[in-house]
Amino acid sequence: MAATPRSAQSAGAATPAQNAPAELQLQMRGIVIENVTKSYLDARNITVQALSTIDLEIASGEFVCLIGKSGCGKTTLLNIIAGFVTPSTGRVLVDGERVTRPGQGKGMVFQQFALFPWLTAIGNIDFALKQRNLDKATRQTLAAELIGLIGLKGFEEKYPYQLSGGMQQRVAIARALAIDPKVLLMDEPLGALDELTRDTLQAEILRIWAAHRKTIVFVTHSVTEAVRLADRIVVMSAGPGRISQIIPISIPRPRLRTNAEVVALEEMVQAALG
Amino acid sequence: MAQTIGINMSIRFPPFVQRLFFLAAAAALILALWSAMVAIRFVPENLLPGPAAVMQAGWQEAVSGRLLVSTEISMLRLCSGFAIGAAIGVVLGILMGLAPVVRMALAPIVELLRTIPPLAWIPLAIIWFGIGEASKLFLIALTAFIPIVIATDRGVKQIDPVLMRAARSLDVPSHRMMTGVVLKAAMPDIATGLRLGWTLSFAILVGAEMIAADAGIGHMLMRAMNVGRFDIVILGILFLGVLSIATDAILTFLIARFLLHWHMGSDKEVQ
Repeated sequence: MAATPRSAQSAGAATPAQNAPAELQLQMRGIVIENVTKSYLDARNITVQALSTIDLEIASGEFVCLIGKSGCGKTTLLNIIAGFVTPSTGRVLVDGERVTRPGQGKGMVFQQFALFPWLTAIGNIDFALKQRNLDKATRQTLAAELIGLIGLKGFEEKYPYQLSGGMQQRVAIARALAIDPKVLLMDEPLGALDELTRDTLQAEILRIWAAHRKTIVFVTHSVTEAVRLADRIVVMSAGPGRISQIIPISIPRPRLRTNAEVVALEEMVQAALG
Repeated sequence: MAQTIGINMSIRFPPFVQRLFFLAAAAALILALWSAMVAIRFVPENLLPGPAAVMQAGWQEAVSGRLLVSTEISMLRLCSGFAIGAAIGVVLGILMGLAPVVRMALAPIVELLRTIPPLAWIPLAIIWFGIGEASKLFLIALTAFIPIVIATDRGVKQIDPVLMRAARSLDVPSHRMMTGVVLKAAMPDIATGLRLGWTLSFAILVGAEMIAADAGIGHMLMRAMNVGRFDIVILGILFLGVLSIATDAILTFLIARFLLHWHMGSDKEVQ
C-alpha cells in the first residue's frame, strides 16, 4: 500500500452521529443501527448466526455502500433497516423513529425493479404518490417532475414490459422518491443491468442524490461501483456476517477510473474484501 | 426449412384468411357428409332432417321469437350464476392465497368438490331449490366457482414476493393492497380460471336445463325431442355450438381489453 489514498488518511474522521451525545441520537436524523444481530434456525433446527453484532451510524444525506461477498449478510442488514426482517437483538432508528415494519418513509429499490406491471411508468409513480394525501393536481405536478428527474419524458404512458431494464429501474427510483422518503435503501439495484446501462445509471443516481440529498444505503458486490458512489464503504465479511472495515472516501466526484487515487482505493477495498 | 419438408406456399395469406379458409372447408365437409347421410337414408328421414330442413326450422324459431326468448333466459342464468361463482371464487381464492389458515381449511373442500362431476349435483339441486331459477343458479355458480377459486389461489401464491415488498415499502393501506396489488398481480391466473369456469358453466347450464327446467335452450332441445321435432334438436345443437364459441370470444376479448390490457401476451402491437 505505497500510494495511500486520501480517503484512508481521513479514515479516523468521525461522522456527526458518532459525536452526538447518546440522548440526542434519538432525535438525530439519519440511520442508527444499535447492537443488531440476526440468527435463525436452519432446517435441522440448528441456530445459524447470519449477523453478529452490528453497530453503525449513517448521517442524514450520507451515501453508504454495503459491500461484501455472498453470505456476508449485507442484504440481511438492508432488510433489517427496511423492516422486512426483524433483528434478533438490537434496534434500528431512522430519523429517531424505531423501525418496526416496512414503509414509514423508507424508500426501496430492488435488483428486480419490482414495478407494478399493470401500471404505466407514471401510474407506478402515482401509485406511490397516492399514499401522501395530496390532491390530484399536486400529484400530477410531482409525477411530471419525477419523470423529468429520471429523464423519461415521452415514456409516461409505457408499461414496464415496454421499457428497457435501465428505464424500468429509473421508474422504480422515481417511485421510491415519490413517497418523499427519509432514506433510500437500494438492494443491488444495478445488478441486473448490462455494463453500459449500469455506468449511466450510476451517474444518474449520483445526480439524483445530489439534487435530493436523501440518505442512501446501497448494497453492491461491485468494488468499482462502491468506490464511484459512496461517501463511506462498509465492508462486510461472512461467517458470521459482520462489518470488517469502514472506508470513508473523500475523493471529489466524479471519480474517474483513470484517477490514480480511485485506482488505489479500489485496490484497497478489494484487499479488504479478502 | 419449410421447403425441406415439402411445404412451400408461394402466396402467403394473412393468418386470419387462412383460418377462415380452413373453417369454411371444415363446414363444407360436415355439410356434405350430413347431406350424404340424409341422401342414403342412413337413418329414417324424420330422425335425421337435412341441412335445408334445419335451416327452415331455424328461420321459423327465429322469426317467432322463441329462439331469442330461450337464448335470453339461458344467458341470463349463465351470467348471473357465473357472476356469483366468480365473485365467491375470487374472494375465497385471495384469502386462501394470502392466509395459510384459510387455505388449510378450504383446500380439502375445494379438492373434494373438484373431483365431483357438476352434473352429479343436479338431483340435490332440484331437491334443495326446486326446478326454478335457484337450482340452475346454484349449479352454475358451483361449477364456475371451482376452477376460479383454484386459479385465484394459485395466482396469489405465485405473486412475486419482491412485488409485495415493494408495495409494503410504499405504506399501501391494506384495502389498496388487496384491490390494487394482489388482485391485479394474480389476474393472469384469475383470467384463466374465468375462461375455464365459463366453459364448464356453459356445459352445466345445458345439462341442468335439459333435466330440470321449463325454459331455456336446453329445455327447448328436450321438448323438441319429446314431440319428435328433430330439426329443432339439430338446430339447438348447432346453435349451442355457435353460442359457446361466441360467448367465449366475447369473454376473451373483455378480459384482454379490461383485465389484462397491461399483459405482455395481449399486446400484439409491441411484440
